[in-house]
Amino acid sequence: MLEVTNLKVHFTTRQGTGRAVDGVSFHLDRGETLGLVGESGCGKSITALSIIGLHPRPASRIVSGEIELDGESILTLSKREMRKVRGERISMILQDPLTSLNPVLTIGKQVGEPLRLHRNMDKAASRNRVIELLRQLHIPEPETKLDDHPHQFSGGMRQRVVGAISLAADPDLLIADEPTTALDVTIQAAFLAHLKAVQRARGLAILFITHDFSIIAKMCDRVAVMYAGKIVETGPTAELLSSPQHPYTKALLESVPSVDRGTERLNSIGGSPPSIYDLPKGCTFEPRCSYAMDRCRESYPLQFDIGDDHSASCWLLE
Amino acid sequence: MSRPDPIIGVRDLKKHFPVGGGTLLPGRGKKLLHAVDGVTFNLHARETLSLVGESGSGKTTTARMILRLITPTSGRVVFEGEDVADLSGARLKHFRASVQAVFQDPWSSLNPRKRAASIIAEPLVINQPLPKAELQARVEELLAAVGLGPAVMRHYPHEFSGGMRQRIAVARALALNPSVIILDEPVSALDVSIRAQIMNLLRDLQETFHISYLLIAHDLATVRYLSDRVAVMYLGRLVEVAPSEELFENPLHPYTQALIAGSRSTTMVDEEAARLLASDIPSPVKPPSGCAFYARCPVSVAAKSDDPTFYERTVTERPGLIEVRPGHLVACHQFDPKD
Repeated sequence: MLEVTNLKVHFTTRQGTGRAVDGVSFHLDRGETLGLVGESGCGKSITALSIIGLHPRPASRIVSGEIELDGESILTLSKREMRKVRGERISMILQDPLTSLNPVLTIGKQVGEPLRLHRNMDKAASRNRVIELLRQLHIPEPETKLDDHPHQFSGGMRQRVVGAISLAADPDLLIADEPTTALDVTIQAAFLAHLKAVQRARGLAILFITHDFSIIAKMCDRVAVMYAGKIVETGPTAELLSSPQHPYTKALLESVPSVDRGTERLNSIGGSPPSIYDLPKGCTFEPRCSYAMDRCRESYPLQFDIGDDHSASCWLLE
Repeated sequence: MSRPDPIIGVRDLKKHFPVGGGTLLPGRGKKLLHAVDGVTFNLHARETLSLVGESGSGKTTTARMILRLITPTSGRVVFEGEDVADLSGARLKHFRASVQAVFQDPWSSLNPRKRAASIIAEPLVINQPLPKAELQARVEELLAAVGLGPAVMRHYPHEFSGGMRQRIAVARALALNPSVIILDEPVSALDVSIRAQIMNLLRDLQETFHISYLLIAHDLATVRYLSDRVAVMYLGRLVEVAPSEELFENPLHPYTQALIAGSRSTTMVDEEAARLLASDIPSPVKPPSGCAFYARCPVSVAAKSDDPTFYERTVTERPGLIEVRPGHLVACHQFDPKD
């Protein structure tokens, strides 16, 4: 359904050209969840924002590549057409629920907006639909809460409202950028359960951006690991988590603590990611990689297939 | 199990904040927010005790009372046998030097106008004046302890990454050879790949300097990695205290069970359980008179029809913290021997 091919998003600033997204390709089918993981600054969010045409402008622009939704390019759409795509077919949940709601509009207005704009519902119909949506997200007494303002809601409730807005117009694709980092564990569990239920019922495709592997394990069918603007490994979740092939994926998995694992000492990854304004000529992970060879300094590794739908870009796999 | 005297003892600690009444006349309102509502625990030498719980559970307020940054409404904080509230003069200075803190956000906890060297030297300059050369040597020693070279001394906080800043905050906390460091979400503001570095550093420092940590965190994976014992807070009260391994393998309180299930990568909470859990935390302005968790608790909700007497108790009677196994305490009517 969504096909991203060799996407490059570059920033032009006084420091030169920053290759934030540097040749990213992936696909996402109906009813499927793809997890996008990596350290901050690796290009996850810019990739997501460029899909809905909201990457920061004029600082950055899509220099090459293709984004297709159901076989049609969305890069050539006019602003007006793109707005329609954003409302009706793709929606996005941003990281911070406390700042993504308008403080002066009632909850009902905000949840109902996509319905009135994109589904042509009148006031009464949209009101009923909003009540139903809020109820599905376990907001108590939705009939009265509808007329409240965001500050009257707790953080967890606000995030559920943001979830309700993003699902209101019944989109085909949901992009969720760390949707649960601001939530408490119990509220997070409830939110994820709801998202799964909606997905099952409507065949929603989800692009899930997170750095939390426990969420990846629970939510995603496939995972793509990003490093310095490139996808370095991608594969089915269970396989990638149990037998990671790229040294970066391995290092990342060994560096995060887990409730399931206990107190065995963690391996931290030394150094820090390269600047996007000054990427190494060869493999971008080479300076931090414990398996680095001469050839890694010379040229960026090709993508090697390891198994069914599982591939990684590392010379070790040749 | 008898243990030597704790370094810090917290005894029935309460903090009630007045709410309402406007900003001009704060405290005129009649309502009280029960931020911390009767908390008792000990922190022993060389151990890491974690306080876990969701936002608003009173973890940070408890820590601030221990640090004597705010005054408890009632209850006591005992340090080396003395009530912290009674300390003054040299004893207070000793307490301030011995109990240090590292905060969540290394962007706001370091003075942007000071160089790393003077940030780390400040506690020394105030508490134990040293000749310049010795001071410099001590700062270098502290930097080395947190894995930084002397070259960083001349730099300002904005020149450092989050991980380096947190190392500087830790070096400052170590300056006066404290016996206790309160770590308030020490890694949650850091990038995933940096967290392991700081957590390993904290473990190594504890080993080298024999420090006790009181760790405040909401991320259970971090807690499991660093803790010897864990105390779970909910709505200002302790609901379960146990050795870390035991708590994660055999949680007894339904709230602890929900927290752990939510953090595991293997368990997906089902819709019904999710609906219950998603009902929001009751207001600390009007805390329930019975068990604080009853409205979200699957056991209590199931008892509503199956065992009305038990349900009644969860609603009306506040469960006490009972030791069900050596070192494992839980506040839940299910484990109350009165049944």
